[in-house]
Amino acid sequence: MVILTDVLGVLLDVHLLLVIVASAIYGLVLGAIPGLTALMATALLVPVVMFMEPVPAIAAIITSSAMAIFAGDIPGALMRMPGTPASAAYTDDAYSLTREGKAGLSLGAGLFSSVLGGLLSALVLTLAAPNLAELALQFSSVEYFWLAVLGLSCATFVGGSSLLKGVAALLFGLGLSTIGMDPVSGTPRFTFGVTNLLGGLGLIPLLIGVFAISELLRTVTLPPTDERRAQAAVGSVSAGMGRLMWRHRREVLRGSTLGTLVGALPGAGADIAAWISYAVTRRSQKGKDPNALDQKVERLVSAGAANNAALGGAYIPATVFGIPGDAITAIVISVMFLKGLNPGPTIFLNNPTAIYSIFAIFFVANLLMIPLGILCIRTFGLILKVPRAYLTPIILLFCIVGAFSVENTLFAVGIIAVVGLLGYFMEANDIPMAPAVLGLILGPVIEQTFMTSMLKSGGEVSVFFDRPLAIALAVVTLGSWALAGVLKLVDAAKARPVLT
Amino acid sequence: MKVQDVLVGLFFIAIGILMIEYAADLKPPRHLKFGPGFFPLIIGSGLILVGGIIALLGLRTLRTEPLWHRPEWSRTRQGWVRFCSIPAAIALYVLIVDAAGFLLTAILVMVLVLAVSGVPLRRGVPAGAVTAVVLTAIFASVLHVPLPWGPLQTISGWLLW
Repeated sequence: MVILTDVLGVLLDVHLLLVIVASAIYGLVLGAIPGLTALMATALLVPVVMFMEPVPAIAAIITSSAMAIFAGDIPGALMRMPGTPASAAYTDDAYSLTREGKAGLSLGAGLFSSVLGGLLSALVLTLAAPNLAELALQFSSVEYFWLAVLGLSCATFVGGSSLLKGVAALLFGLGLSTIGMDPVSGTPRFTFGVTNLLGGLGLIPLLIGVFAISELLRTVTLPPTDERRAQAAVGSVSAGMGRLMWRHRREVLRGSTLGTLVGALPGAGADIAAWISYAVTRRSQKGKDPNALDQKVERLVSAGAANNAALGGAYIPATVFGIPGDAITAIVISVMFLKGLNPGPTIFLNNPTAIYSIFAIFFVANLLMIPLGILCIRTFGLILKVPRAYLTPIILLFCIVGAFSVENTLFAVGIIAVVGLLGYFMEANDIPMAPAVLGLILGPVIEQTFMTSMLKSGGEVSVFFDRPLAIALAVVTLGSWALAGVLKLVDAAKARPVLT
Repeated sequence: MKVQDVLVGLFFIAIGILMIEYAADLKPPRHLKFGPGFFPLIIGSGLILVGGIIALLGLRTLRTEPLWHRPEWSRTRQGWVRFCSIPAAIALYVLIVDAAGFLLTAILVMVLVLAVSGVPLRRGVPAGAVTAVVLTAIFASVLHVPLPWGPLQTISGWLLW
């Protein structure tokens, strides 16, 4: 009860509310511009939130990313250009509704299913996280080691089309994480006498490089598109939505559940959640006309709920174990550490007001999505009038100043160019970025927990299988490897042509 | 630029060898079985193994696929200029910001990238000036990031509060 009062006190702070509204508008505008992703919006926000108090800093990230994921639906529905990859799964359905003169229905269904998905995942997060934290309090370095390895394994297995390239990307990220001082003995590694490398490669400049600069490199090389097309009359976005959501409650619930679960899986973000939910709903429509209005709406609400639910789901491993669920929560974890809000089970004991306020912000942000989302849909034409040519250098300057402001060195600015080029070439060669980024973040955790466990046991590897919790996590981890291998073999067998 | 998987595999093998080579010189502290070189050694070995498999699998398509595939944009000079404008703008910033200060450098970066996109100077310069002033106000004044002023040090008071 005391915590509830404290949380309400935090939420009613005018400064926090202003931050939430400002970051909501920021997220909606960036998400609505095709090519600018929720991840990019988050990476660009970091240099600004670095200077805020911990709760407003995390609130800004939660709000802007939730808004950006929804806003990606708007250009998808009106122009067949998904604003963010998370909206790509159902863009065709949403656009075909617009062409049938039902743009209001398409956008309204997307908006309200996003809100419901976000709220349901926030509820799961609030209820599940404290219970999981109690379990996590019993964890030693061995369990954390297995958990981090499990996180990396999942990230690799779901990360891209090629399992091998995913593993290579993961190892590459782990390799980059060893630059700087060794966490046990403090010996400099791979620094080559450069003092700027002693503290390791700064995480924020790396994230800005990987996600923002590489995206800019892709954007500037794209042929110019005609962004003035398909400005259809939208009509009412909210009329009849209560009834519509009730009629499709099963799909909304399915999308929210799948989204939360997929989001909680390390490495799988909102886009994968949306694709899975879309595929499951499509499969459930066997025997029905896939082009019928009701079927399109079913798929749309299911995937729309899933991508926003994934965001809340990703915060479960992030807050309870300090293991990021996706790239956005990887940034959140870094910001939490920088602001002294160390994620992990002890946060529920040491800083309950802050963590429950963060959970409560999920509810506020998702409810705020209704009025601001409708406003964004109405003003979408204005957002599109911002010429692409001007956006590129503005984002570039934000990236430069952002990298500099976090590290206060020009070395960090140079890093964003190198990493941006690297990210561009990796993506061009189907080498997934998510395992590399998670490897970079979880590398120090894995090394530290591994070395601590080995030192404690005097070099006995059996320490990793001594405790029941460790054995359970080891079985799950090794089982996930075996499952990934079997699935790969099955896929290969299916792809092989049948000789007669 | 997409390259053949054999080259991708060789890239990872090369990184793995470099890591192992470097890690071999990192000796464990006294009384410890494992030192700072242990983890890089495991990662380097993994990179060689995975890179080797990628390269071996790539051999199957070596004859049918080109060694590298040029993206569409790289076929024109304009495409290269656009692509290189981003790293070039960052390099320019790093090289001159201490001497020229943030305001002038930001305007220059903005004008350069806008010019590459075909925006004329008469529009690029005002757009650059407005962006630079707004960024200075946000980062230097509000967030207290120590952005360099260069020759404009004397007017820094106008934008700092």
